[in-house]
Amino acid sequence: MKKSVIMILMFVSSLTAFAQSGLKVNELFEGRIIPQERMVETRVRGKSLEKYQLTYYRSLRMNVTHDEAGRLRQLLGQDAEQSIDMRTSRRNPHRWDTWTCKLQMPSVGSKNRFLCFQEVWNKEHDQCEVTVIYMEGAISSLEELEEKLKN
Amino acid sequence: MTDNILKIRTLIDRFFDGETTLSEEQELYDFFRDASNLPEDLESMRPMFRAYDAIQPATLKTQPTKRSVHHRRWLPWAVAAAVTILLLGGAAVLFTRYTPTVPVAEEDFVAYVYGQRTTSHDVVLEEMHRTMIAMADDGGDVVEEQLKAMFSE
Repeated sequence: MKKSVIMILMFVSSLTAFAQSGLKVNELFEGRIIPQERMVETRVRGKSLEKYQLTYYRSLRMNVTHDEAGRLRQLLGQDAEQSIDMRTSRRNPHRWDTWTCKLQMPSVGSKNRFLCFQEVWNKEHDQCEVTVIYMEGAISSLEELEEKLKN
Repeated sequence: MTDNILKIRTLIDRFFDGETTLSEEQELYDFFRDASNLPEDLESMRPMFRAYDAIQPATLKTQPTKRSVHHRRWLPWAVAAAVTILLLGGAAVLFTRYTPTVPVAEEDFVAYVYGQRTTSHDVVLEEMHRTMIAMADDGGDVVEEQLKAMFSE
């Protein structure tokens, strides 16, 4: 009996420790950094995502200041430390400077998870539009995700 | 070392089948207390065997008597069932803490455009595709005015 109790307690404590490593970007999704009135948010779950091999899609799009962009990058950096794969890219056409970062986060059960972050800077007006996307699904790699997003 | 690891793995299997003697269990506890550079799967078991070792009274450690097999056979299954129930509950807690807030409905289709909620499929799909295309690095102009015009007072 004692052994059983110890075993159960050990598993519960390990679950607690595991739960403490949640996504930092949740602060943004919960409206604690940028007010929700300044964002365009979508939340999709179900059949609409089947062709992308996704089960959940949540995106945010917003205009931010330099300081706010810096704060968002901080959160992204913290999540990147927990990621299992990362890809970044940059495009620099005439007026727009676009920086994109895609992360594959540790899976939870059978759910593969991805976090994508993009800054689009308008150089002329010093404005930045940020897009953040969180996705769950059967897609197994960033490479596969990029193929699905392009189609 | 390899032979010892093989022996330990055999003991571990017998431990979970409820077939180890007390002296064999003590051998496991001693191994996990003293061994280093273990394979990952064995290393993950170290906390468990260390905990078992900690709760063993000193007197029991000197008794080589084999425990009742009948008593031991059901215990691991009962523990496994209890742990499974806890893991399922823990997974539910993890999911809500590990991801953004997730709606309960099996199908969810909603957008919040500058604070205004809409379940219009056209609006939601348009925004979803816009963000997908942007992230695919295919470009695409930002057309703020369309959405603002649709939801302006």
